[in-house]
Parts: sequence; C-alpha cells; structure tokens
Amino acid sequence: MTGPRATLDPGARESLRRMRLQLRRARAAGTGQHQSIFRGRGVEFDEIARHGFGDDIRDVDWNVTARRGELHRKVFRADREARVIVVLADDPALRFGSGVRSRRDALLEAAALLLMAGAVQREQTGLIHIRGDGVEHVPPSRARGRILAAAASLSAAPAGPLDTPARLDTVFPLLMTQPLGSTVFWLADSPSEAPPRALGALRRRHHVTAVRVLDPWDEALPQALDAMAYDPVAGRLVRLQDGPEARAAHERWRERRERLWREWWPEVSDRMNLNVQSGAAAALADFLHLRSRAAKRAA
Amino acid sequence: MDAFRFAEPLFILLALAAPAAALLRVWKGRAEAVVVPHAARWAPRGLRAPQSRTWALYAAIILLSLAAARPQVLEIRREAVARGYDLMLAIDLSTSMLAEDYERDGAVINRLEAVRPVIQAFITGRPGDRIGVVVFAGRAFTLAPPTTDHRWLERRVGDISIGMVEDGTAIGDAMGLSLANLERARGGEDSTGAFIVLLTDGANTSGALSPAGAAALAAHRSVPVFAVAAGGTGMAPFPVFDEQGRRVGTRPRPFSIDPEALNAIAETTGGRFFMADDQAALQEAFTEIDASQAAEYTVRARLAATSLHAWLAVPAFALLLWSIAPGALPSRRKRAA
Repeated sequence: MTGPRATLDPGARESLRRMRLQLRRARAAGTGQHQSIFRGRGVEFDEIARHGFGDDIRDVDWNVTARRGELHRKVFRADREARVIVVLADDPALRFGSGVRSRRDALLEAAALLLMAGAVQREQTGLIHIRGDGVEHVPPSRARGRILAAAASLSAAPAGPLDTPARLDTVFPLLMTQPLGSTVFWLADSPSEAPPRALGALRRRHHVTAVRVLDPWDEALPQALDAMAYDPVAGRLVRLQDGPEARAAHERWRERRERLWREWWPEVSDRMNLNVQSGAAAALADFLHLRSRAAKRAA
Repeated sequence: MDAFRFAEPLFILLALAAPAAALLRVWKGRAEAVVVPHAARWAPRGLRAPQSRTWALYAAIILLSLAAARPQVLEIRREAVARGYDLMLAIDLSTSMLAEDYERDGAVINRLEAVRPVIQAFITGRPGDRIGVVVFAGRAFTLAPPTTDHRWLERRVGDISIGMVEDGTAIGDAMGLSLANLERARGGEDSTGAFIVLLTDGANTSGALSPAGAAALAAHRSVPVFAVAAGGTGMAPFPVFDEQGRRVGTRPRPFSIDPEALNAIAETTGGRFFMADDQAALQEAFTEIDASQAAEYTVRARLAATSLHAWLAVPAFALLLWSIAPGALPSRRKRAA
C-alpha cells in the first residue's frame, strides 16, 4: 500500500529532526543492547530477585516470598522490539487553541512524531485515526516507507466535521485484536465521561499511554473575556463572559476533567500532558526517555 | 360533511415572515464566533442561546399567521328527521285556578299547583316533541313558541303564576293563538301530527274569538284539540286576600265548568275531552293524550363553523414568550473557526 505523498513544512521537519536526535540519545544511553524506548516495563519474565527499597510492590512474587520467608520480586526484561499503535481520536473538542496552534495541531504533530520514531526504531508501528464516524486503520508494520507515508498523510489530514464527535467505542474492538502487550499511545482530548468498561480490559491487555494537550484556557479563563463561542461538544452557541459565576463554572469543569483524567489513566507513568504552545518533539522524547530509564532502574 | 377553510386566507401570507427572517438572518446575521470546546460548561446558566429558541420564534410566527387566518371547520348538519308531536299547551291562568280542590300527599293545593307538575312531567316525557305554551285568562299570549329546548320550557312553565294576565277566560283566543303558533312553526306545511292541549277550569268569558269559531278553524286545519277540564263544578274552597294581597282565609265559592262547550270543541276538532276533577284523573288525561299519534317534523339544516384559531394562537404565544424570555440571547449564526 502506498500512502499519499505529503510535504512536511519546515517546522515539522525540524521537530522530526529533534525527535530523532532525542531517540538516538535515548538509545545510546542504554546498555548498548537495542531495546525499545517505547516500553515502560517489559512483559517478558527474566528472573527472581530480592525486593529492595523503592522496588515496585506490584512485582512481588508472593509464592517465592512465602517459600523463602522474605520479599522477592519478579524481574521483567524489556522487549527488544515492541508493537506500537498510535491512536488519534480526532475529535471536534481538539479544535481549539488560544494561541497560534490548536490542540489538534499539537496532537497531530505528536502522532506523526511517534509514527516516525517507530519507523526509525524499526518497530512494528501502526495507526488508528478516528475522525467523525470513520476510522482509518494502518496495521502495524516495520516498513519504514509505509509508516512515514501514514505520518505524512496524517499531518495533512483535514479535520472532521465540527458536529460529529469521534466515536471512541469503535476503537476498543480494534485494539483488542492486536497482539498482547502492544504499546498503545492514546492521543485524545481530556475525557469528559466516566471510563468505559472496555478500557479496563484494554489496559490489562496492552500498555496504554494517554497523551493530551492542555491550553492555557483549560487552566483558567482569560480576564475580561466577552465573546460568542460555539461549543462543538454541546453543539450550542454561547456567550462567554468573564465573571465570578463563569470562573466558578470553569473551575468545576476543570476539577471534573482532572478527576476523569485520573480515573481513565490511574498510573502517573501512563499519562502525559503536552502544552499546546510548545512543540511536542522534545516533550515526547523526554517522557519516553525518562520512562525508559525508570524501567531500566526498576529492572 | 365537514369541511375546512380559512376565513381570512390572506393572513397566511404573514407566515412568509418566518422564512424571510431566516433568510435575513443568514444574509445579515453572521457574527464572529470562535470554536471553544466545552464552553457551554463554562457559560453560566441563562446566557445560552440555543438554536431551539430561534426555531421557536419562527414557529410562533407561522402559528400566529395561521391563527389570524381564522381556520374553521364547517360542520354541515343535515336536516334531522324525527318522529314527534307539534303541540301547544294552552293553560288557563284565570283566578279560578286558585280554587283549592286538589290534594297531593294529603295537602290541599290549588288547581294551578296541581296542573304545573303534570305539565312539566308531560314535557319531560316527550323529548322528541316540539312543544309550545300559550297562557290565557282575559287575554291570551304566547309564553313559548314550539321548541325542542324542553329544559327552558320547563323553567318557563315553572315561572307562570295566576295574575300574570288580566282576569277572564278567553278560551277561543287561546286556541286561535295556539293555531297561529303551530302554523308558524310548521312553516305552512300541513298540520298532521299537530294538536292542542287546552287546560281550563271555566267557561269562555272574554276574547275576540269564540271557542266554537276557534274549534272550526282547528278542524279546518286538522288540528285536534284535547280539552282538559281542571277542577269540578259546585262549591270549592277559594283563598281570600285582603287589600294588600295577603291571604287572610278561605271561603267556599261556586265554580262551574262548561263541559258541553269543551266537549264540543274536542269533537269538532277530532280531539278528546277529559274531566279531571282530581289529581289522578288529570294524570290519566295527559297519559291518554300521550298516546296520540306521532308526527314527523324537521329541524332546518344549518352550517356550524367551529373556529380553530385558539388551538394555534395559544401554543404560538407560548412559543413566542419562551423564545423572547430572559436569558435568550439574540441568536447568531455560528462560523466555524
């Protein structure tokens, strides 16, 4: 399959260059063996070791501990290669940015960078792009050209209809058919509903990392705001006016948003915030690098 | 057959104001609006301007226009054909009707009090008849023309009292007036099924038309007269009143009925004569009259228009109030960012 040819703009090229640099650095900082930077914790069992201070309590092997009379833990080895699936929920809720870039721009960049990183690392990398009622699925592949074409196509993809939310329920069955232990990057807006039941099964089957983009307006309404706004989530035209009532409403919304974000993704290491005003490459590279190092330390 | 129409169809054109307003809104009503996801959750309640209010306004305009055009359902009622009597009740209200020679439940009552419930029951028991009432004493006048509104008629009969008409007994005039009422009600048709019930307690003492002349006229028109003589002949207790009209006692007084004359009227016209000197006989007389042959009569067809404008105007005003209620912002067209 050949994807559409797309020309990356200079900014994207620069981001990609920085991303690749970060990835190389991350790889060089390892033991010399090639291990995937996408993995936080490997899933392959390696050995049993004594449990020490700072080790993850979840790794305790209670059978061995019971036999030997002291705490022992399982040691996992990071996979040499990972199956990486980038999920982008291209929802109308992403189409906002108080600055030059929108949340969608930032997530598109992040998705493209993750795809490119997968291609560079020769990982089996795939894409699931949910937009409106449709789902574009690029099955995981090591073919670099195919992955880069998908990344380029994604960067040039037009936004979906403003009044049609991305249907997340379509993606769960698709992900559940992927091989066990895949690495999933879940790029979407902050959840606005309680986590679906299928999410638990998904998180047990794969290692899911959620990425969202925050805008300054997400934290607080700007002062002296008075504007007509169209809310694509509610499908309504509203007048936004600064005032105590609006600020209180915004604060309530923010608290609920954060609570839902934590309910969807309880592990700190599984959720990542990007800032809409800064580039995604450095932030992604730092996040992956730090998590990879933390995983090595844990091992 | 029912039909639907607009009484003022030109007002429907006002409904064009709604699409015109919508077009104007599209043409001129464009306003800057930024796309802000979740903004509806930040906007305090009451500042929202949902599209539904705009649509409600359009709907109100259309409904008001249609209401102004006065929609109507025309109910064309066919001529109702029914079996029944056309009858006139000629009731004597002369002072002799005050004679207290009747009894009900052991109590002494006067002739009018005895006659009134029998007449009312007679009216109630004949829902298919057109019944009219003529009252007479020294003169005769129409209390009610023939009507099928028997409730109203019973109330009118309940209101009659002795003294309404100057004293006397104008039997001939009462019959003549009853014939005139029947003729008017029938619209010149033949008088089959029409008859007169003459209720009196005395002989003809006044009036321009003699009972015999009236009977001949009734016979000519084939209208039988059923004559009921209330009370009896001889002495009967009669109330005595003082100068202020207050009853001060009872005094026996002689009364005489002219049964021959009444019988002659009945025979001449093909009716019957009843001597009802007590309550049971009175009841029996009317029961027998009840057995008279029924006749067909018609109710004229009419066109009944039922206006439907309220069904449109009320929801229209409700929609209008809701669309302009406080909290409704002037709606503007969104423009995707």
